[in-house]
Amino acid sequence: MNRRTLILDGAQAASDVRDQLGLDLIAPVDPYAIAEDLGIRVRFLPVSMEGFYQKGSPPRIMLSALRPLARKAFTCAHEVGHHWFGHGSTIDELKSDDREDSDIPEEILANAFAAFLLMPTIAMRRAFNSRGWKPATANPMQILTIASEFGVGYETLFTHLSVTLSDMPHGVRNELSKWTPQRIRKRLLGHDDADGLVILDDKQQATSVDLDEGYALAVPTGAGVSGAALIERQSIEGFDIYDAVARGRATITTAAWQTEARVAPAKFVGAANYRFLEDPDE
Amino acid sequence: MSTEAEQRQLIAQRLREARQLAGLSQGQVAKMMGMHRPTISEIEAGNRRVSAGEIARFAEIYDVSTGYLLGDAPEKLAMDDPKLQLAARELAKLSPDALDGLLRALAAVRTDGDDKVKD
Repeated sequence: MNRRTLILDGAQAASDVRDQLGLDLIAPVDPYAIAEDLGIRVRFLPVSMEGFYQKGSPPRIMLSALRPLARKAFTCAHEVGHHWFGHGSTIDELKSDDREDSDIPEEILANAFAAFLLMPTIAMRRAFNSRGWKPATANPMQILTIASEFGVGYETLFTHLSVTLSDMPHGVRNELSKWTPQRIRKRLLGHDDADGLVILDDKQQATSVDLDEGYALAVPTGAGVSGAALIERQSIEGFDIYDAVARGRATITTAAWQTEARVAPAKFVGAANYRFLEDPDE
Repeated sequence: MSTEAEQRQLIAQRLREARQLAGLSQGQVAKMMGMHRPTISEIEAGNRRVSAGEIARFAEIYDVSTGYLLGDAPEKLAMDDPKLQLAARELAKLSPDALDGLLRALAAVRTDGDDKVKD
């Protein structure tokens, strides 16, 4: 099978999974919840790799605790892909960047599955259209905003738009790749204290957003925030900035939406379903 | 044969490792077990006996086998363990440190049917 066919198969399977679990093709999804719904146990280990899928009873996914938040979510979706396709146990070794694309058919399938599970074509279209933005003219702040909504990495999003969906000219991709999430963060916040920045704007539709302790979260100015996991830090044009300071959950409410922010310890080692559990010892 | 004291120490050590591998603090586990926090700390120091029922409950919370908690199972899976279901070429992808970490985690986690074999 050629690469294109495999990518289409991966995309179809991603749509089938959403369908089976009663999820539409528009809203952002939580790959950890999908794994759990499929009976897969997910854990984070302090081990240098991307991920590990263990076929068995129960099936398991082990992810490296050492990778960035969005990377772990993508790898989780990738391992769910191996499970869905009935692949055998696999180790996914550490990759330095997104596009070291494998030539192994199973890996192409699992990668396409993960990309389309997290970033379905219709969802991408809605995300841009509802904001009056276009992939063909997107700027770094816009990409980071939509990447935040879907829980994927900055580079993962524009690579998907340009390479897989062919919705973005090369020139735009090149411009976007000159920016890193760290540089955008520094430009927006005026400092380099946060380990990551997640932006929730008025148009976002995620019902939950994951953060690590040390991350900053931008919410629309005046949004209500309740919960000890987040504390307010500063305001910038259009946004209030909160710091994720403790393991646990917080509820964010605006006139347009309500979202649960879930904070895990940085480099959390443990079972995925315990990562947001408030800790009385803290 | 190990003495009772040695065995209690081994169980205590496994309980601590399994808790850390599950990502829980002593306080969180105490709450789930309906115990006081110092009780967990005493158990993990090997100063308090643990009942069979408690071991089963810990195993469930930590998602590990009771055999692992009781010290009947090795602390690290052998490369040729059938539980692993991994070809040698897969294992070769990992550095020795990473492989060690993975094999330790896999020795602890429970597989359906594990505990029936041990009974």
